[in-house]
Amino acid sequence: MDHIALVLEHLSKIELLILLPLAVLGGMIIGAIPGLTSTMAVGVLLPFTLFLDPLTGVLILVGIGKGSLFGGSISAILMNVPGTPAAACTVIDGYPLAQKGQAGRAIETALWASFIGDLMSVVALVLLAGWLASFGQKFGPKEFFALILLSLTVIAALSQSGLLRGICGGMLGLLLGTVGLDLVNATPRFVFGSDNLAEGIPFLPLLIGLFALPDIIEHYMSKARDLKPHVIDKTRYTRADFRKTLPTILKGSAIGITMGAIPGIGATASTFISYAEAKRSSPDRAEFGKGALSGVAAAESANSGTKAATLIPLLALGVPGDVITAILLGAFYFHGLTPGPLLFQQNLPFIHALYIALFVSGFCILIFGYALKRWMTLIASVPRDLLYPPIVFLTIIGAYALSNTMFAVYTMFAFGVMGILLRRLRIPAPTVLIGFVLSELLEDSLRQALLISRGDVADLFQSPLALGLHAATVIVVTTVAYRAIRRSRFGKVGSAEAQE
Amino acid sequence: MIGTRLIAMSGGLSAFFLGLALLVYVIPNFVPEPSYSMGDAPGPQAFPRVLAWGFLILGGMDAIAVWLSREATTWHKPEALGRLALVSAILLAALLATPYFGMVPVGIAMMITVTTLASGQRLVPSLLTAVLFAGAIYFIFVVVAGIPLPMGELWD
Repeated sequence: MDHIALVLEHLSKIELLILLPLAVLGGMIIGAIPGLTSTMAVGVLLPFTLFLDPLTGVLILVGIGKGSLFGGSISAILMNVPGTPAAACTVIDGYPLAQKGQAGRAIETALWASFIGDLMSVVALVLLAGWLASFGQKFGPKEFFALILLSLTVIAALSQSGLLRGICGGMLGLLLGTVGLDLVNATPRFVFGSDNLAEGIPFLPLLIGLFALPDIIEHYMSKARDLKPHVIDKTRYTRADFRKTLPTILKGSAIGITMGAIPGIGATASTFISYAEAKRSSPDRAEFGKGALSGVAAAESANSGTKAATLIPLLALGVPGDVITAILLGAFYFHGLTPGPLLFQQNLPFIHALYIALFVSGFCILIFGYALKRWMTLIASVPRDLLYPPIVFLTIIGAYALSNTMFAVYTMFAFGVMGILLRRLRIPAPTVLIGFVLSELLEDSLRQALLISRGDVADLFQSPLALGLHAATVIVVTTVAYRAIRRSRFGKVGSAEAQE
Repeated sequence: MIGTRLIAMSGGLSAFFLGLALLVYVIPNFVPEPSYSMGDAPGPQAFPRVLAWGFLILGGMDAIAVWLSREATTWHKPEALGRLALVSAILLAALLATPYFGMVPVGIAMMITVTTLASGQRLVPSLLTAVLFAGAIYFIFVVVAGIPLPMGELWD
């Protein structure tokens, strides 16, 4: 009874009731405007959530992420431009539908697929996170070290820049995480005589600098023109459409949940897998690419299916699987909460309140999706040239507000420069952020494990669980490296044949 | 061709030279080992050293792989670099001017300058957006939340 009262106490806060729907709505609008990414929005708004209670703060960020996933489909369907990377697959069939004068039908298909995918994902989170957390209680320092190493390797291996640069990005994040006082010996590391750096590199300026500023600068460099979106028509997603697409939606959601629960794969990859599966198993496969409703349903159910599923390893083990969950991990730390098995033991009412609010936010997507439908053309055509300068101003204010010092603002701009350089060097910034967030945990686990084993490195591989995780790391590296080598060899053969 | 291939190799080479700099200069000079021992536990230099070796080896491998694959890439066009320089100069000027003129006035000036100079938008919508947005921010932060923003030495 006390437990239910505590859950209700979490949920009855007025700011949560107002801000969660607003966050979902805001996320949908952000996702609908090409060039505004959910990472940028979550990063820019994170400082403002830190003044709220933990549940509201975390849920605002989740709500923005969820809303933007659906929002991305709006510009994909109306403008042939995915609003978010995860909507890249929605373009393939969504835009042809809009060209045929069925934009309304395509948007409603995306809406229902997102809604069902999201609900199934939350159910999976509720069923699996607690179980995984209880399993995580068996983890000691060496198992945690092996798990974090595996997660970082998977994330790096699946980055678009390739294994080597992905790992280099992760290591750069780990290195940046070592700046400040060493936790064991309290000796300064890489502080270069600066008092500000003694506390370590601040998370928020790093996040905003790496993810928000480079997008804006690149926009001005490329001087991309805003496209004119299609007008929403009166076509609807009928019951017959629903019956026809439901198997695809369920399958896509299951694919999204599976991919989301594995760190590193994320929404974008899952949409392509789901789309390929829908096309393979469809009797109307010739329709795919020309405006198949099932194509839109497959992509949207998969990307929404990943959303709550990415929270499974985060909540249960404290391991983020993508940039948004890495930001959420930072938000948890700011609020004095450490995701992992202990969170389930000490803050179970918080976890249950989070589950309920996640369900509610899914319904918000459906309600706002219908309410916003007639305004979507207008939202998608907001000129980015007028939006970006206020966002830059907001990043400056956000960085400043956290510590009330200009140091945070200077740090943010320094990381903005680094973000632009990383793009030119094709080193993926997400791996840098995830490495940075996990740095302390990885080093602590390693040092604790070696302290317990009196410096015996072989002991890191003694437990069966740690050994299994290390073996998985080796398999991931070997597989990705083998594929890369094969691809480059075949590429050469292919080009030689072409020359002949 | 060599130039474009060197640009393609720049990611790996940067990692390689970062590792080298860390091992040769930065770690020995900026990560002091404590005078006392913590048993067999690794010291504060151990983890950064592992990372430095990682940069050295993986960066070198990446550079060699790119060289052997004959991958080439191009840099931005001069006009894009010109726009980068313009936006960077505006942001840098805003950063330097904030302590003297205050965050809100500098923010308004920065927003108008970026929108009109870098995007070629008309002055009136830029001015309206900037003033309304800065006003809203000032209201939320200073009036509602009570968080002081730098007001600028000039107005003190």
